[in-house]
Amino acid sequence: MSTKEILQVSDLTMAYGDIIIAENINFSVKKGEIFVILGGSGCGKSTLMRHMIGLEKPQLGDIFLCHQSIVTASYDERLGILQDIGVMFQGGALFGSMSLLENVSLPLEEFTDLPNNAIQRIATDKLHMVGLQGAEHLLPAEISGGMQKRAAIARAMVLDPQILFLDEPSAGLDPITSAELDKLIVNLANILGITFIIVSHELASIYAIADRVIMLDKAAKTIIAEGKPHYLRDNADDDRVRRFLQQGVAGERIH
Amino acid sequence: MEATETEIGPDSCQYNIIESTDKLIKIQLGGELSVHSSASVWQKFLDLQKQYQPEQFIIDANDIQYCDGAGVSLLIELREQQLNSNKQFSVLGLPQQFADLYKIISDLPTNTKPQNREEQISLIEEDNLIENVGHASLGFIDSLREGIAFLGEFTYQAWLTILKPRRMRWRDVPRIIEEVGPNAFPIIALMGFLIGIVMSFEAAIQMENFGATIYVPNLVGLALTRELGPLMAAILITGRSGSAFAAELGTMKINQEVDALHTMGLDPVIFLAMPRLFAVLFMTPVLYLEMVFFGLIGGAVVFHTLGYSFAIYINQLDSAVRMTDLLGGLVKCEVFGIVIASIGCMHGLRTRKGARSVGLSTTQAVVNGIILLIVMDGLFAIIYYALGI
Repeated sequence: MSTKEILQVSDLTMAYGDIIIAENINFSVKKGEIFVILGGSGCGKSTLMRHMIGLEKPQLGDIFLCHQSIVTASYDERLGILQDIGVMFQGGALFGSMSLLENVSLPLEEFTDLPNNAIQRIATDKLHMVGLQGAEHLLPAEISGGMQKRAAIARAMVLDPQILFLDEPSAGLDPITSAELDKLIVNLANILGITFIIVSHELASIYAIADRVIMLDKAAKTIIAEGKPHYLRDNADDDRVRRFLQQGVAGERIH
Repeated sequence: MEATETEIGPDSCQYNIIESTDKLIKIQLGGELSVHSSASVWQKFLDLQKQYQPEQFIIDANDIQYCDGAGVSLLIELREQQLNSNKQFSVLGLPQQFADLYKIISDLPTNTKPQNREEQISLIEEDNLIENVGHASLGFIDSLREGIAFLGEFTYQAWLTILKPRRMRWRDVPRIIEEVGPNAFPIIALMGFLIGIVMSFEAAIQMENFGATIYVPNLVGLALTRELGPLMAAILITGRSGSAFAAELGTMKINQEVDALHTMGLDPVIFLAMPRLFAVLFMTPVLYLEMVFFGLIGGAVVFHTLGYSFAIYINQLDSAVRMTDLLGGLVKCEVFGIVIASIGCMHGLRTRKGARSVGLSTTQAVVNGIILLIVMDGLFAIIYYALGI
């Protein structure tokens, strides 16, 4: 693993009991990359993300985040690793009883010794960065799905992590909100140098933001393609990959 | 044999049975074959098919004016029944737009069509009694192990929090205290008062036979402080707050909020369960004392109607109820509080997926909580007896 690589997955086998979800998963992600994991429904994209953020234990193999294994880490090492990453879950997973500001402030309150006014300042800035000016004191239930996702990104990046994991950021959003979110992701990657690992199957979004993608396949139970999305669309050896990446992108009506 | 039947009505399907023998059934259909009108003919046609089991089944659909998905499903059902017994089926003259729909639906793959959930599950795994018993036993052992592991972690974290209070988020405690305590004051007062009245009244009826009604306050006082006060207050808190903990934490679990805590490096037991434990530990004795207080008032009211003064009531209480009885009740309350909070939070955090699972966790939290409270109360009776309290 070179110093440029911020995440490495090696020989990973994911399984629930006897049922193998995917095996022989190998890839690495460079610092500052926007890396997308794509594939059809049920191929194990979200499961792979859950393994990378330490919510599931792999059956075999190892995962290195910022050069440390999250699989074999001790409790304290794991806490250190987790502070270097941020996660946005599919539904946002904001705490329903807290306002957006309280949600975003929480990691600062728990892991820093910053005074209260500094915490408020930083959390407010992060909310403004994702375009949520004026919504600081609203509860998650009082805002739209797109705003909840942006607030969840603000919370995920409040400790200035090196890697941000996003699970289906565009799912369920209208095209304009989705495009705004894509712009935000690219800006954060360019300005702050954050590495993004995104689980998605929204092709428009993938072409707009991804530096590199891997594609998982349910039948093959492993990675069937890795590379730049536009290149794979036109040149992938595997027919399944080309078909997936060409599907409906031209925006033609089905007759 | 030939038969002719026609049914006419608004939105109705008109049918004419041209022929029905074991060689051929031919039915002429007209009008609308829709989700509403097909109900009137569905079973009739199937019964006819079952009765004659014809070599050939022909539907003449020339006069069909409208046919929707349900109508097509009827045709497909008839076709499948015929084809399954290697017999013939044909639809004649179905207008083009309905024929397209018929083709789309009949072209769907139907070769493995399980009839019910059990069959679908049996496609995934073989149904075997011994395996099922094995799976159920392993499931029970797993759940027991999870329960013990959770209680171990819960107790350990509670101990660490007592040693290092700063590790817990105290900010949430007042809100939970308010939900557990003050919001329950009216119902606890009402229950205590009524229990006091009922108990002293029933006791007075029996004691009157022996001229011993003066001992009613002794019974009410002892029963409330030692047994009924702690147990009834705890059962009420389980129903109100234990269930609320399970539902709240369960919903957080299915909304991935618990996963979010894990990825932030925050332990859900410390972050979510500990504030609830300390809120319950703080409020259970208060609610116990409130229940005892109102129970004694209820007892006093009945005692007064028997012709005794309040001074005698207090005097009798003073002679019967010792401080150790009250302290014993308070100790019980704290232990009951640990049971309520741990069972509620455990079931909440063990919620699987879906809204049904939250309901199940809530029910389990209440049922298991109450059972455990009664078991603990029995243990306390033995311990207190052994200690001479």
